[in-house]
Amino acid sequence: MRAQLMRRTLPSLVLGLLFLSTPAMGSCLDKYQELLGQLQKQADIMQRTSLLLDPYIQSQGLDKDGLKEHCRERPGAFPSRDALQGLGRWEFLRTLDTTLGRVLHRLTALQRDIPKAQDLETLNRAKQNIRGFKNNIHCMAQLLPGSSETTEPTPTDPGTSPSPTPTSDTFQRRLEGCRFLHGYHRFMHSVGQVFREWGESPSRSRRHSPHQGLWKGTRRMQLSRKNKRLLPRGQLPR
Amino acid sequence: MALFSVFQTTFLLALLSLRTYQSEVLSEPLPWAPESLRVFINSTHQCLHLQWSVHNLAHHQELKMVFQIEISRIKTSNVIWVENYSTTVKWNQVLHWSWESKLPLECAKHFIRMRSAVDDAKTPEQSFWSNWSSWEEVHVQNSLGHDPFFVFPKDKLVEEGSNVTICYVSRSQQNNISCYLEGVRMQGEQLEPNVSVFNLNHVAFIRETGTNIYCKGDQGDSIKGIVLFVSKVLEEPKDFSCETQDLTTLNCTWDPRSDTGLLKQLSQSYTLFESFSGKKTLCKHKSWCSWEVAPESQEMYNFTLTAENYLRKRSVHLLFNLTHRVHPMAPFSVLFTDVSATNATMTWKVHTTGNYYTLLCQVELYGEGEVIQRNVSVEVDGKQLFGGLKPDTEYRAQVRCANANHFWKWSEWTRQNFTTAEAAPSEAPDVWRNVKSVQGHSVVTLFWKPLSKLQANGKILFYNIVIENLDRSSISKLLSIPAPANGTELNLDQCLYQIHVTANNSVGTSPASVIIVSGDPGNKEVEEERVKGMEDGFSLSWKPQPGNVTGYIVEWCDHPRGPLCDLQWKSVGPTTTSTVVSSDAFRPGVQYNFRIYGISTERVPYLLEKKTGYSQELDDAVCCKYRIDNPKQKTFVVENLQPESFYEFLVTPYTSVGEGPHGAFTKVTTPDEYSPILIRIILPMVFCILLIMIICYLKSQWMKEKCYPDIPDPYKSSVLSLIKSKENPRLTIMSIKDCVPDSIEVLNKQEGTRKSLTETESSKATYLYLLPTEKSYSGPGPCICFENFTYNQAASDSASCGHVPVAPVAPLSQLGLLTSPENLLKALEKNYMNSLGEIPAGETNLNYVSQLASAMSGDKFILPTNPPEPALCSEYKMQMAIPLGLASPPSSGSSSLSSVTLLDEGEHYH
Repeated sequence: MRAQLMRRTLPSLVLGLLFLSTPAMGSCLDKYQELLGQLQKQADIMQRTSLLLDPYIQSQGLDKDGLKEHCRERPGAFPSRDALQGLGRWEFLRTLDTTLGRVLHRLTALQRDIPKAQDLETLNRAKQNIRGFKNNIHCMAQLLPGSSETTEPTPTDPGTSPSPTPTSDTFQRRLEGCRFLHGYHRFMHSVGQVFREWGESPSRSRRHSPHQGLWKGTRRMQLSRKNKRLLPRGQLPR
Repeated sequence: MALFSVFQTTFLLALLSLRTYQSEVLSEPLPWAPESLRVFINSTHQCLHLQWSVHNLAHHQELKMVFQIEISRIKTSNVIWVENYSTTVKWNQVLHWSWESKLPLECAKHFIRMRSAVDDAKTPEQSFWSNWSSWEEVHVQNSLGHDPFFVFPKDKLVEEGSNVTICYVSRSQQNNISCYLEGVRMQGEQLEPNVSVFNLNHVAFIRETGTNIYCKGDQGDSIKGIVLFVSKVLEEPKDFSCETQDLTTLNCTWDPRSDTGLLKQLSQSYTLFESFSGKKTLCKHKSWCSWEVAPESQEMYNFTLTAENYLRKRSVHLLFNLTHRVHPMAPFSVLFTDVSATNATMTWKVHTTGNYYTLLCQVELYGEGEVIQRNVSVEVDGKQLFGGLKPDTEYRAQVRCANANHFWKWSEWTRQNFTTAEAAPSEAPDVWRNVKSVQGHSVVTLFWKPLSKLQANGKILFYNIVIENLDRSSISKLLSIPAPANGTELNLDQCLYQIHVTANNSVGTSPASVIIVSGDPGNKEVEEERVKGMEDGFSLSWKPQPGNVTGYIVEWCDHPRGPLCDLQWKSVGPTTTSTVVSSDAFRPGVQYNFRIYGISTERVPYLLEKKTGYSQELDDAVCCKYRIDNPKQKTFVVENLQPESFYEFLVTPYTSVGEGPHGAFTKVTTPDEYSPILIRIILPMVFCILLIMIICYLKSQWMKEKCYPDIPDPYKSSVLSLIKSKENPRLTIMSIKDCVPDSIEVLNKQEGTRKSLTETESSKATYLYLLPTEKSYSGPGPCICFENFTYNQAASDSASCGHVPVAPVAPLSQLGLLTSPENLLKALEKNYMNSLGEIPAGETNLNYVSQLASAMSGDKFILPTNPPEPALCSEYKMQMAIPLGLASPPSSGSSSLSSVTLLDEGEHYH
């Protein structure tokens, strides 16, 4: 039991330390490689099922043969790896930010099905980690060319995506929660791979002056206008 | 017979007509029949709610009625429930009735109908059933979605141990659906072609998040399920109790038992209701609740504690008088005053619990294994005097209180420690002495035993010893020995002394222990008796003394084999003539000696008896027993003893009857094992070494010549190795061929003058034979015999050097030292110059340097067995002499060896 707790807590602590170096608002890390490395590490940690999925399955009694097979990500719930790899950097970050906002919202909804304080604490830590990750996404967006059109900083509210259809059927909600968490970890795995590819292709231009990317208030554009792909110079969409 | 048939027919017709009439009457609508029946469904609780009304009631009319309700499942004919519902109906009243189905309502159709009857004494004529209402159909399946199948009931909450019915409803009858409870397949029964039910009996609590029950189609891709929330059964709170410490607040506690909290149900809540005051409070804690005591001095309280969850309530009651539930707070300010060596006063305070309450306090005092308990009645301050305490002793006191009028509970203990003061030692130290006479003086060693804690009454600081000379009563001496010493040594003369020993602590002095010591140790010769040790020690007894004896002392050594015998003693009273001496130091196989002294009225000890024995005789202590049959034999050798071991021997006679008495043992310690062997080896070795040393001393000169002669062997020189290593062709040892020999005058007659000098030693003259043997001799000419007159004395002393075959090249041995031609020439020149002068015959510090001979001897190893014939020898005259430092003695060994070496080299020149 103690080992299990350690397994859950340790990655969260590591994530917490990683986030310490990137305060939420206003003071982003201006070193691209360093920030990218942090995002990779965070994604690597957040993909671990021991953080959310495993304790959820156990607490909900889904660790039974015949049930576990149904705890699979629903197609379309999260962007696939190919879809993520096909996005431009800026668009990728925006998708990531939006998806994680949805995850935050969904995790809040999951809280009502978790009676144990210990599991609730695990869930809350995961939410904090996601918020920190979103802030790093925001910082990374500033370092990309054309960063005046960048993502919004992570608000502390659950996000703007519509909440999943509420169901009073506890069993169905339980399964959906499990599938969702499975998809979330898979999604973070794909995100980590994309970030790793970023690191492996340094030819992609990046901005070296962080000051150009600072939030510029009125110059900020609406998300709808950002849908155009902002590709770095010489970069082709994948 | 025909008449009977007519009568029967008439009777049947009459009966039929009566029946028809009755049915006509009954078919008329009852004026108070149920109308407007409506059915509502509560799927969550699996309940059907019925709602109807009764018309035609007059205004303000109330009528007792019975409604019979019938419920059918699947089809109307399958009635599963009939119930009569009695109630009083008013005008314009809407009536309600609920029914909970064991089967989820979604699992099957349900049909409901009802009828009524008046059950009122005011209208007895109306007391028959009305017509049935029409069937109301409840079919929840119609409202289900389009999924292939469904499982019911959803999220049902039940208590542990309940029976639950689960069903699935399939859209298609062809679906092969299997259902599982926590992964274990369930066996159900078919209710309808598309509906199966599963009866779960005595469901168990599994987890707070509920029990997962799910069904899967044969394809396995679709799954539907429910969560059954099984709650632990809410139990009655145990050990419900209320008490007060200050009469202002009641603290009620209980054991909440199991927590029934679930994901769908909060943990049970607790409420406290007091019936006299009508007050109620919701408790914030699971196991205790505070209740403010009413200011109007309510004495009686009747509490109801209710535990409640979603499914159940449980209550317990408690009625009590407030004053009977006083649990005082622990006393405080516990102090000790007037603490002396034997008395102490304890005071404490108690918390006030009212104006007129008296507390009963219990005081306990622990010390030295004793417990003193007192009960004290206290209103505000408590006080208790303790007497008869032991000096210098730490005591632990504790006090607690309870309501004196109505005992409920003791308060917690309040503890405090204190230590009584010291007092003077109460007993005289137990003193004994050991007296030795040394050169006319008495060396008296005084011993005393430390006082026990009870006797010391404090920490003993020192011992005072007063020595009083009884012969000269005016002289006394005081010694103060600091503790923790347990003895001292006194040098006294042969006078009679009285010694007083007292122990002193910070308060005072103990009674004195008095002993008389004289120059006579009092160890008169008494016969020693043997005693046998027992498990608990030695049992010693002695004869009672006829005179006045103040007591007896038994003396022994705890470690008789050790250098310090560790003297012990035991004092017994004058009437005692036996005692058991025990000691932890007693060891099996060790002999202990006991001396029993009597103490006279003058306090002079005198030896009475001596005892000896083993506390336990080891079986292997008697290692051997020899029987000597010859009565005349007076000696016996015991063999095979262990070295460095202690043995005791006893010789006792025996007769045909048996052995005689055992006398004293003779003690022997065998020497160690290696000494004789070492002596046997070392002594001859020392003798040999001494012999060798003497011989060496006597033959030192010979040894010197043998081992390290003054003229070294060039072929043993390091120079030679240097030459060889450098392979310098220019640096080499001079070869005989390279030398030009001096002219040698060969005389075939003996020189008279010289001979006269050596005449007496003619037989010992040193000759250098240059003649080779016949075989090896290749050169012409006769053999040459050189008489060496310059041969030094030391060399001539050598006995073996009388006739030494020396190869012609032997003189070259010294050339080895002259590693360069220049050196050689210098040396030769110098010696030659010296030779020009007269050389005294007695001068012995010159050595002969042989000259080169023309002939070479080929036989280098064979010593001449026969001395050369003088006639064949040429006599050689002295040619020159060199200082001793450059000359090597022409000793036979060295010369011979040099020759050999040179010849060896010479052979290479052939």
